Amino acid sequence: MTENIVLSCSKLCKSFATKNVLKDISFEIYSGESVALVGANGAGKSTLIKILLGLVKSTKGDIRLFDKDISTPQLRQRIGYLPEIPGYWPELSAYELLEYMGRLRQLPIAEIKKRQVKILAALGLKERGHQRMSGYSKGMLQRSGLAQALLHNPDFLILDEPMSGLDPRAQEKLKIILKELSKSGKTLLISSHSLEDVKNLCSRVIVLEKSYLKDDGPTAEVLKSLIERYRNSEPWDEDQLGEWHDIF
Amino acid sequence: MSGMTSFNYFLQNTYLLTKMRFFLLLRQKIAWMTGVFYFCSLMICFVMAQVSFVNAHKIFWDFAMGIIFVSQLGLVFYLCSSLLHEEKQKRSLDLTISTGVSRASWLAGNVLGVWVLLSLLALAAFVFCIFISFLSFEGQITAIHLQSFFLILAETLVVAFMSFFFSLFFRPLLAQLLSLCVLIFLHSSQNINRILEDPMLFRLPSAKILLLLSGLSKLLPPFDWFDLKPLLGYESSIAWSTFTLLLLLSAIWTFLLYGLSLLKLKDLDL
Repeated sequence: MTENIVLSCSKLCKSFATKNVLKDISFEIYSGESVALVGANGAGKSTLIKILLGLVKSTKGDIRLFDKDISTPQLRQRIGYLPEIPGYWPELSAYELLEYMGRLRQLPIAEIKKRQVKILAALGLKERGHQRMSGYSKGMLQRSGLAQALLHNPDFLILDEPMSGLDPRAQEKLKIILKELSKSGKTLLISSHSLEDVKNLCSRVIVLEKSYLKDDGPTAEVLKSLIERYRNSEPWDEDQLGEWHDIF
Repeated sequence: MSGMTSFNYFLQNTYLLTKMRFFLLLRQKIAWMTGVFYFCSLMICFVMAQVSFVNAHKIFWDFAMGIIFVSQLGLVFYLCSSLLHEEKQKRSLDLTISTGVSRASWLAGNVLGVWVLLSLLALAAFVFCIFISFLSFEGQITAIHLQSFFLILAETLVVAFMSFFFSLFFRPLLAQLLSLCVLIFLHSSQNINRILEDPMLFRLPSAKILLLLSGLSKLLPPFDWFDLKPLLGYESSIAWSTFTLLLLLSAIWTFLLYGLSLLKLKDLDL
């Protein structure tokens, strides 16, 4: 089974000054799994993703990616990453972004040229992909981001809020693409606030709550208990909702 | 990736990042605006030299090299101190690091990209000055002109890493101000040393501060040695061995500042 483990986190902790953002997080993701990372704002999802990408260093714990220590930068070549709020370089076009990212990922030029046209066409950016990204809508930026994440045919995809900013039609298309990727054996880690998307796309859910790993299990089971907690108005966010009747 | 050593991987990524930063700056129109600024200011220098009665050639070169020097440093302060903050804000840093680029490559590539662009702009301005000098003043271009130009480039590289280093601790504007203050201090190191040689000073209550200043001025790069502008227009130059030594010193300070920046950057949560 060990050779099938794509990501393994053991007793992971992260604290910023006096604030503990992640406490004792342990989980494993196996090859071909589609895992959702769910949690309220400030639960530690983004920090966990940043640790996996080498942007933030964990305070304690052990992370292994493809059975190797995560500190090796070259390992990240096998990851495709879509950031939550894509800004990128507004001076570039989507084609130029893909070419640059492909070169950084050591892909041959001919391969980049071939794949960039295919991927941008699949994401509806074949024509407008030549324009500079400063003129793109949020949805177009999100699609450009997804294109660069898929360019090198990665084994492991980390998608931070992939549906954010997309119109309903693009969301549906993206869901189809993600399902296809999952079927083709790619491992997906999707951070999302939408339980509907999680239900549609993922087979397993990891719930982070107040810096701890609260739940980890099959989607239906975890979502059921999560929705139950919502209904019982159990506060799960750091900021509780106030009263509405005084406003209207 | 197979068979590629870590050093080759570092070099390849650094080259790509340098090229990208160069390209981005070109797209941001900074290069064109600086080019136009150089052209206009050098023409003003030319007019000023033309209307002067004595030593027009020296006046032209004095002003022209002064403009190149100040513009280079002004731009390098601005561009290098805002590099990290800008990339973090746009999330493009996340994207670059997620491809497996090391922080060492990111730092070297981006700072070198800024430096290469500024050096090419300075080179264009320098060639333009030579052109004007030959056409209008029939003045000789001597070794001192070349030495002065290359020392400006060497100083720019040191200042580029220094500005980036300060930006790791402070906001861009504060990093720029701090870099400017340090640069002024380093350009007056000989004067400071001369003042500090006075034994009377050390009897003052603030002698400890003076001692610290004296020590600092010996440790830090004395940039006033790099400033050859006062010699331009005279039939003199510095010895090539001194020139090589100064280039070597600037390379050492560059590596030192790169290493210090990297130490902090590696520990920094991005």
